[in-house]
Amino acid sequence: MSDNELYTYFKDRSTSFNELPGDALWGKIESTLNYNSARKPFPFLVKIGIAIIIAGITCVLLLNTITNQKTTTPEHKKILNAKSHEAIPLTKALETDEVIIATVNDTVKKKKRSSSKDKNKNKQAISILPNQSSQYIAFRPITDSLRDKKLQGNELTNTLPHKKTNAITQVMQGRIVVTGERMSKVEFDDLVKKTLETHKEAHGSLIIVKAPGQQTFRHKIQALPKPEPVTGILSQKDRIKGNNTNPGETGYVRFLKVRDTIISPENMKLNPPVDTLILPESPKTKQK
Amino acid sequence: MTEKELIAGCRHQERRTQHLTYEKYSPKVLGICKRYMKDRERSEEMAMNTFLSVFQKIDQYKDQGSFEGWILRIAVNCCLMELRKKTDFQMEISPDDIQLPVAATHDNLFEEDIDKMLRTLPEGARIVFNLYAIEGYKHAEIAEQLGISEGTSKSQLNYAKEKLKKTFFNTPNQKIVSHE
Repeated sequence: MSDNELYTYFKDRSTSFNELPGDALWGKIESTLNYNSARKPFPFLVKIGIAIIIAGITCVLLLNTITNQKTTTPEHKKILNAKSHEAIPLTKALETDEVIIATVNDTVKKKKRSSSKDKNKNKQAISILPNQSSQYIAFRPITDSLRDKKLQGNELTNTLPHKKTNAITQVMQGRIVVTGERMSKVEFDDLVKKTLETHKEAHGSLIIVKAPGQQTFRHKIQALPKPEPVTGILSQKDRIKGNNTNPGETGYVRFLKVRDTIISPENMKLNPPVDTLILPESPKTKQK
Repeated sequence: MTEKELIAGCRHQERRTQHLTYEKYSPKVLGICKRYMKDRERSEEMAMNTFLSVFQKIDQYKDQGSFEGWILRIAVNCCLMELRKKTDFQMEISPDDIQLPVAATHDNLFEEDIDKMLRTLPEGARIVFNLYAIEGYKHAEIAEQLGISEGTSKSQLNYAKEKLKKTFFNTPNQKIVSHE
């Protein structure tokens, strides 16, 4: 028997397996189908439920926004009027919860709408705050103080309280050098100021203030102007008398007041005259 | 009721039409299931699964092929899915392993009783023989369906037909031969 004959033999007789299963099997199938169809509406109900929930949430949100916008209630009117005209006391503002909510919401709105035009209105709104004596305290997070000083730079160091700075002062010929230790800019400025005050009479000397991390300060204190010659004090009377002309040009020696004392070498040593005799500069010395 | 009307009724989930469809195709479906499954109970279970799949997935049916062919293919797939869970199709058998049963003569077997003939085969060989000889599947399709190689499918088929030949069609005075 060939393979094809074998296959044909079984294929032709395969219908012998066919058999009507009976109503029991259909009963099972029908019940399963009914059960599945009964389960089907569940997702539909779930969908409806979700839709209702979403609609409810949106309604609540809309109502909330509408109520925030509306100012129909008398309490709201009162508060808004008070805001626009005069301050209201704290006790009045805290009478009802609604009032508090209204004020809070209003404040938020004003923050959102803050513009140059509304600045005056905002000021009025602030004025209704009951606690007038409260002070503004700058908020500074504690972590700021823990940060690295290098990162923070001068911003932090400037705010720190001033401490005593140690500086070494070296006075040399024509210059005063003040060397300080590491310090803030403010402290360095203080040191410069103090140094200038201390050595303000060191005319003609250069003041140098140094500190690590700061730019070296150099300042030269101007020298005193040279005193004018005595000849400049000639009176008009003297000129009229003929004592003549501009002093300095003539080269005349003028004597000032003469005391009623005997001028002797010894006396001169012991009691020098109050007014010193000053000779005018000669043209030769001027040239030098 | 025509095939189109049956399809339309099933698409509308009409219980009466579904019942008519069941009555029309259930004998063939159960016949297929009986060929693949060992006992009647499991065959009926597979038939039920087949019709549930047909009624629930009727929208997936394209009007290109025959409706009956679509239903019978679903029946085969249902049986194979069930068999794949428990049967090891990977085992390769050579015809040398054939052991003829002691009482296996054509005298104590009815010539028409191919059910009993097929039951003499191991499960893997029986299913491959069913798919190849009766359903007309190719080895590649069988391999894909059962998750085996084509070589395994061929060896299973070879074993099945050799055993059937040796057991039932070896004697010269067979009635079967005279029929053909």
